Amino acid sequence: MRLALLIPLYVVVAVMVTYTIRHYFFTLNRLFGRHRQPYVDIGTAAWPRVAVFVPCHDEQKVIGHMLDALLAADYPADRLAIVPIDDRSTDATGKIVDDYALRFPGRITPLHRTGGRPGKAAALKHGSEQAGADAGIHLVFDADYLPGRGLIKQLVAPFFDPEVGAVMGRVVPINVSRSLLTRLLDLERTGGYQVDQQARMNLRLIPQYGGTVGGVRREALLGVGGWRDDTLAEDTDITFRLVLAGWEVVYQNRSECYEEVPENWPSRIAQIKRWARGHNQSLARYWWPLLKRPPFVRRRTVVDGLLLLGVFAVGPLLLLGWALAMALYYLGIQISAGLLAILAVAMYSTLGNFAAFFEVAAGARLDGSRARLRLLPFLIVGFLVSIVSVSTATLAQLANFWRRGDHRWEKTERHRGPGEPLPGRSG
Amino acid sequence: MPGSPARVQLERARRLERIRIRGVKGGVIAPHRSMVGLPWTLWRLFTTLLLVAFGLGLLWAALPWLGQGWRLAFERARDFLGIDAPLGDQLLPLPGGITLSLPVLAVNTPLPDARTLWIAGIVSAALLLATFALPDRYTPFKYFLRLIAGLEAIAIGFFALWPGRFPYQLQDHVFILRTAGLVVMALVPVIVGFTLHVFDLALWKKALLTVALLAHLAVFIPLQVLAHLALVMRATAVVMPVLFLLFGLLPDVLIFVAFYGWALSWRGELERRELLPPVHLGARSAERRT
Repeated sequence: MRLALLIPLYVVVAVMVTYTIRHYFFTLNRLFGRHRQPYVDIGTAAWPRVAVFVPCHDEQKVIGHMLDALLAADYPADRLAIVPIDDRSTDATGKIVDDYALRFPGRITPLHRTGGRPGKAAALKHGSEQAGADAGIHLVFDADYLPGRGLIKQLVAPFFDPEVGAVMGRVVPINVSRSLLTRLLDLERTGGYQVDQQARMNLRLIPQYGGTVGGVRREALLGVGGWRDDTLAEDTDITFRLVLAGWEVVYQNRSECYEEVPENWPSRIAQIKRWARGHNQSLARYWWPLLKRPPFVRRRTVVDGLLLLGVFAVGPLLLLGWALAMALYYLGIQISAGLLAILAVAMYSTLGNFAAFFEVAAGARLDGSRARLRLLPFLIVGFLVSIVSVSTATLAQLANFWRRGDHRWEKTERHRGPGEPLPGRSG
Repeated sequence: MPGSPARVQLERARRLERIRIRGVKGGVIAPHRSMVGLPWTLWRLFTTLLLVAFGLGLLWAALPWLGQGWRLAFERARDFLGIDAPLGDQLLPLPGGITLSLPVLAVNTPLPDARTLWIAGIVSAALLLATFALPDRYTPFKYFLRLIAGLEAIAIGFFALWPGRFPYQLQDHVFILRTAGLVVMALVPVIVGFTLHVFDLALWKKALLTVALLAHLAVFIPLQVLAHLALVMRATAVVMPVLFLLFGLLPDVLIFVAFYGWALSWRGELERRELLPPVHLGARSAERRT
């Protein structure tokens, strides 16, 4: 009994310690390491044709803002095709994009989907098959995003490197001051992009293409079989297919784009459950091909890739660890004797949990917005909700793994009104 | 300028550098946040090690007073809480052959009877039901309350099924909690060493944070232990698992994080001295740009 409980507990602790070391390593690299931003200085070039896809389903609150922002981009208009993909919206989204298409003929080419598989991945697959054939670069934004004027050029610049298959920019919340949740999500995003993604870029690991604020080279996309429509995380899916095919995925920390983060907990829970299910799908699909390691993939990339794929499996694993620890507690079984055991547990409890706080704190300091760090301890409430949500989503996924055909639009609730001034802007 | 001494040229270059980063209203034009890093110098490494040694040394030197202070707290608490138990000393062996004398109250562990278990069950059920009435904005609080209710339900089940097999005495609980607290205190100087001292805060601020954290924990830990003691003596051992699992190390960690977040919200030396943060693209660090 003792060993039956202790061995899995040690395995769980070993996994947690691995992720902890990774957090510290990435943070220290981001703070003191040499930065890789090789494409950020490209400002003048023979810009290629680009298609910007905006999958949308019931996005009447935000789609107008998004299209306005894209139309204001400083990218040559004759080389920029804007393709909103309206996937069976039941609100005024279809009408809004059609109005824009009439007002800006040749610049906006909407696609309307009334059949086929629903969901963002399917919409992208459909969109990339129907449009953008003459565009070498396919960029993707969510409908609530607000790209700045120069963002398209910044995201296209890395594609002048023929080895680059996908590019990801930084996501910055725009509705930060709405609630405690939005402030916590702002801190989490800061740690995730400013530190985690940039460290991966610095270390030539796998910066993740996040499905928005970025894009893929059409040739690379076609080479790996196009977008898959049977996944909830087409971004993670394409990241790993590209890496396994030998393409580089790069992160541009300078290419910032504003997004609307969930403003209430039910919306946040739905979002993170969707991410968890999609990410776990990718874990199931790509852990073995990655472990087999194609000859052009480095060993450290494999390690990073496996850790990245497993990131949403950590939640249930952590719950398992707590359950085992509780069982040991009730059975009166000590992990080992004396002060050393308490030291190990205390170290794990402090350092292990603290690594994520360190990452967020480093990101916020680098951002130069230090006052918000007083909210740092409140991140624990976000972690609690995330662990429960991710674990329940994963367990439900395991219980229903045979229901592969169950795909639908799982979108995040929008909070912005169509005529409402944008957060952080005066008019 | 041709023919000028090198010193003049250097001074001119420095002046130009200062002008280049100066905004129209006198502010500093900093590099974009996506590119900046932190300076790392041998001096930073040296001061970090020094501060870690300072923190550990301070704790080491304060241990006898810590034991005395905690004993005083236990004495006062015994009178205040009306605990009828003798106050003794427990010797905690520390690395290096040193022993620390810590106060201990020789209390018995009250085990729950059937009535107590029913009351605990009703309170837990009420807590669980109450969470469904809370609005969505309290979702994390809801989850936490449900966690308490769930863990308490497990404890009730355990005491109902195996009333004599609970493996801990109240004194074990107190000992583990206090020892774990001491370990956290010992870890404080080390953790802040490589998570706080690496930042560009003034040395006195870094030292202040270490002292403030240690002082806070030195006061908090005995009060936490006494609060647990008082609760268990009134509500019986049925609340011990919840207290241990949720209110043991977790508050210590959150205190640490709160102090850490507060310290990192302080103005850094680069900002105070209007120096640019370094861009680690092969450029020289900001500390050397002065």
